[in-house]
Amino acid sequence: MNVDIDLAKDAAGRSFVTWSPVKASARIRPGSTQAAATVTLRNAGSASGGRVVFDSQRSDSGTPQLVLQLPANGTSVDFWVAGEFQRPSTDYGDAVIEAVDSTQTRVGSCDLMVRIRKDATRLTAKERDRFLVALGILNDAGMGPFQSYRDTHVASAQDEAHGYAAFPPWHRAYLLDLERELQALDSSVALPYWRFDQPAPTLFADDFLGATPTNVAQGDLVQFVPGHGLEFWKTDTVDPIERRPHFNIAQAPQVLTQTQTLALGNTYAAFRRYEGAPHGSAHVSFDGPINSVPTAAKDPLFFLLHANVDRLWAYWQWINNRTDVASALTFSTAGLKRPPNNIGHRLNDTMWPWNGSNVAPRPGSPAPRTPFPSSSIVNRPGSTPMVQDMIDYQGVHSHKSLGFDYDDVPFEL
Amino acid sequence: MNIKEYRRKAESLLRDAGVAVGDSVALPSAAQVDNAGFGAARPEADVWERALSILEDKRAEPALRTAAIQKLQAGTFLGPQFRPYRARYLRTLREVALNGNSELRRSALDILANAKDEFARRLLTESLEGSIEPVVPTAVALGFLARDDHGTARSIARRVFAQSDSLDAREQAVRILASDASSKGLLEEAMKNKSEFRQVRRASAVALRNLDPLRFALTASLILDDESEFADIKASVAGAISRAGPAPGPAPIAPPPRATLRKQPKRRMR
Repeated sequence: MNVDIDLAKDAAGRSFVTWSPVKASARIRPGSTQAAATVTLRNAGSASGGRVVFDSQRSDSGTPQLVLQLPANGTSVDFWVAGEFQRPSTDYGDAVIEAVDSTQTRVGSCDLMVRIRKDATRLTAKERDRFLVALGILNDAGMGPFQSYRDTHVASAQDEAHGYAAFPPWHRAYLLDLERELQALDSSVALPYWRFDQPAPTLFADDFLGATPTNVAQGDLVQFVPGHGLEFWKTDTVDPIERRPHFNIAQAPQVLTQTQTLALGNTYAAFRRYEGAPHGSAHVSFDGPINSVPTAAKDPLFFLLHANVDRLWAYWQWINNRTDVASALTFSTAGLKRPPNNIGHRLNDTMWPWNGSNVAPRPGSPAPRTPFPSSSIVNRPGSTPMVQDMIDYQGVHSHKSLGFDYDDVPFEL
Repeated sequence: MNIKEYRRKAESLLRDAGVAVGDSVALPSAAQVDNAGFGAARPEADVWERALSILEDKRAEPALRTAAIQKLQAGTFLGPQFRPYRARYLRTLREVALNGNSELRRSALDILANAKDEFARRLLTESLEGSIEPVVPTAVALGFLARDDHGTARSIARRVFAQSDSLDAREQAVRILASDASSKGLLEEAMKNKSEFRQVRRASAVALRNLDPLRFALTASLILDDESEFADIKASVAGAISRAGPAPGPAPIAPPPRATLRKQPKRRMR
């Protein structure tokens, strides 16, 4: 008897899961047996690799094994699978779903990856280098698609993304856009985050995001080991990566801690103050382009910093149950409104640049990033995402996730 | 992991820290929204007023004035809320760039350079040309000036490269010349020159790759075929070749093991 396990696959035939459960199916391969069978699904990957949990229904309490009754005629039986919380993969294929029969004989299997955004300081060397190489290819010494990301986060677009209600959703979309392009180059990459309220000396080293010269007269060009994925990094025409910390990199900068950030309040209107601190404070903990809105995205650190800003929102959403877009506690336009009618910051507004609009008050220049890239494993948010599409990112209410998760933010119904 | 247990622990930690958690909250009133920082009575406004006063005060402690810059610069990330303070902030930064101590001058010029501020560009240019006392070290000034893609930076960079013996200044100069089509030959020579600082050679490779990929590839192949060439130079050019083009291809070359990279670049005979 052979059992086929069917899980969404990308063009290369690879499967990925996050903490959010996805529907999968198993069936007896037609012609491989004459009788119905009882099979058990279980983990069979490496001991240190990713692990998954199963359930017969969509839940947050899957188990490491699931028994299925498979009809002899090859009819598929659905089940749900998710990454086991805090057991992410480090490499593709280190998670394996195995189907065994009543004699514990393997009758089918499926390689996959529990692909999760992680604390950058906890990446393996391979994870780190895969991320850096993909980012370097995307940049291609200033001639690659990365320039369009840099051109998105500029002065003329400041009001699309800052100072009003949609600061968190817009940046969530921006990060996901970049992550999907990186995954098109190397599907095993997930965007890491810089947890800026904790020391991260390994992040600011010459084998990761670059080391700042200790001699202040030397300038602020960060130094890389030869052959590093970002050694040839360029944006605009001449700029390398310049960055000088205002803090001892063996310690964390002076920013609000995660607990202090969560203490801003459990309503969206209150929590959104995190745009000033810790978000703004983290940006200005360095000299260099990272400390100004129009130039910050020239530095790849931007994306790790903002992944943490997004993680803080995700954690806040989880701990306070703030994923229902219909609730004003989850999202609110209270406070300053963008003239003339808060466009771009209301739930049903599409977001620039992915909507391609150049009608005022949107930036007049051609939108640098359109359409929003698709994913081979999920079908959200579509080509022109709206503000509301970014909120329930795990699909708690919509049942459709955006295809990413953070290592310390679980899926919970 | 049991999610419910994970939640219980997380909530417990937060409640111990006095953080309100969960659903049991009423919708905020208009006054609460104001107090949260998005209405007329913004607490940020008071902070920015105080910070501007400190920054404007030449007698204030430099460390305090540096902290004020950080507070104000963080405010710029709030866009419309900070806008009423922006002109005064930039005006004060220009004064600090002229009169502050070395650290303050550097921070002020860093921010002004990011903003492509004309006053800062002139100050940096005059500093590099020697018509005024240096406001920041040469390498730093070149780096700031390079953020404003201006022909002045390129002509100064060519002069610095021709005249300066400093590794730092030469490296910054080469980076700026990455936008100067007339410097292809200079960059190619620097990339091949075994007597040049190795950091400058690597920077030249980066610049030439940006300026003329074909010429870079030809020079890189010579370097890779040269058995007497330094391992770090080879690693740099090989890495660039492996990452050329956005299309997915064969598995990219990962950075070489650290053990082979730890040799510090040293200057050889020039």
